[in-house]
Amino acid sequence: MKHILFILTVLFLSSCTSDSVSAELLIVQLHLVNSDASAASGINVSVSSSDGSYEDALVHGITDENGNVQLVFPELEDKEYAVSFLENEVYLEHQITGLQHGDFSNYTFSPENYVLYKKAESVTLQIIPHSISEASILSVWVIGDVIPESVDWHPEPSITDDYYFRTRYTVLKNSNVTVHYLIQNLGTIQELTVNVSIPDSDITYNLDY
Amino acid sequence: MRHLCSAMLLIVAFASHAQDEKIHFRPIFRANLAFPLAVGDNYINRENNDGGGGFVSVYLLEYRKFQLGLGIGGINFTGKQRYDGSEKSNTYMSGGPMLRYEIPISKRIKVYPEVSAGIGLIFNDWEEPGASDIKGGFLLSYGFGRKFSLIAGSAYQYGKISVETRSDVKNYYSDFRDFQFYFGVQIDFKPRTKTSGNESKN
Repeated sequence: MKHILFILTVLFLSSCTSDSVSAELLIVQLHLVNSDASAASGINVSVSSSDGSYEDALVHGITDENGNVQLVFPELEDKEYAVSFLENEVYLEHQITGLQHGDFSNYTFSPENYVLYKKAESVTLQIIPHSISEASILSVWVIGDVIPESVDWHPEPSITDDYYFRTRYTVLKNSNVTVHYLIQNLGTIQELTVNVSIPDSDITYNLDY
Repeated sequence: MRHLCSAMLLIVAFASHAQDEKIHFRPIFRANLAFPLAVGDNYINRENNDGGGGFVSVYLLEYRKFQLGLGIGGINFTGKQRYDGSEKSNTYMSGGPMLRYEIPISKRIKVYPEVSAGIGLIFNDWEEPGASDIKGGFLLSYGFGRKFSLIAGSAYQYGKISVETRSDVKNYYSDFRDFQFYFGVQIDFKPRTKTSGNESKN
């Protein structure tokens, strides 16, 4: 009897299956640089997860003297991730949003030499639409040396597919930008552009249409 | 869970297979607090603070002075506060077989070299991965009467968390090592009937 029980036990052991769960850890590995390609050090970087609001902070770190930081965090099912660069005395706030699992190669998201801009090299461009005709303005956007507050890693195909109206931008000092705008006049929609030179201080541009 | 299942069944099988005069059913209950001191270049040590925990164990079988049982418990590494004010922590809940050897020093004092293995889960913000460990250490017991003892001891634990990530950082996040220090009680429900060193007949 005891031999039978022993054999049954051995057989039962072989039927025990492992239900161990592995944690998948993703890595954001960044080399942050200034616009002159020098290392951007001392920048507080965090990763958060989102199903829409990016509220769950997962991990944070600070770039070293070479501008490098590596952040490791758990992969969460059906979530997107955002990388946030916190504003400090020198640097502007910035964010990369919409990172998906497929953006991580070998568990790693590592864009090359990601540029962060300093407050000292930026100014604000404020566009004020100013009606001088019967036309109505439908859309305003700027292309050029615009410093984005946020980069959507999986953007919509084009902002011009829909009406887009934004009048305040952070731009590089002493640069040139192009203001695009759509106007509607007598049932006709027309896209117009105007070049604007950016000085070394904040600028308000009156956009006549 | 596969290992825990195996350990439990092995003990049952061992008991049923070898019920001769040398193997005794000797239930000994043990409960102790445990305080870890994490060591090494790994995530648990570098990015968490040492916390505390506890274990309960039941030794069931005795062969000569070897005692075989099962234990279950948990150790918490309290975690360091994050920049946003929240606090993460890692709690390792595990269970598994334990084997120790009883060395009587005097009428009241005994020393137990002990090894154990465990398998369980890490409760943290990693979606509760599995983990396993092996431990080796010793216990010192001081008896009050025939059944009740106070115990103290320590053990070294090596564990591995089930992690999938880039190979150059995997060991940092999967391995953990710590010394554990124990304080607790032990109740021998079937103490030896003769003087230390003689086997009791079951």
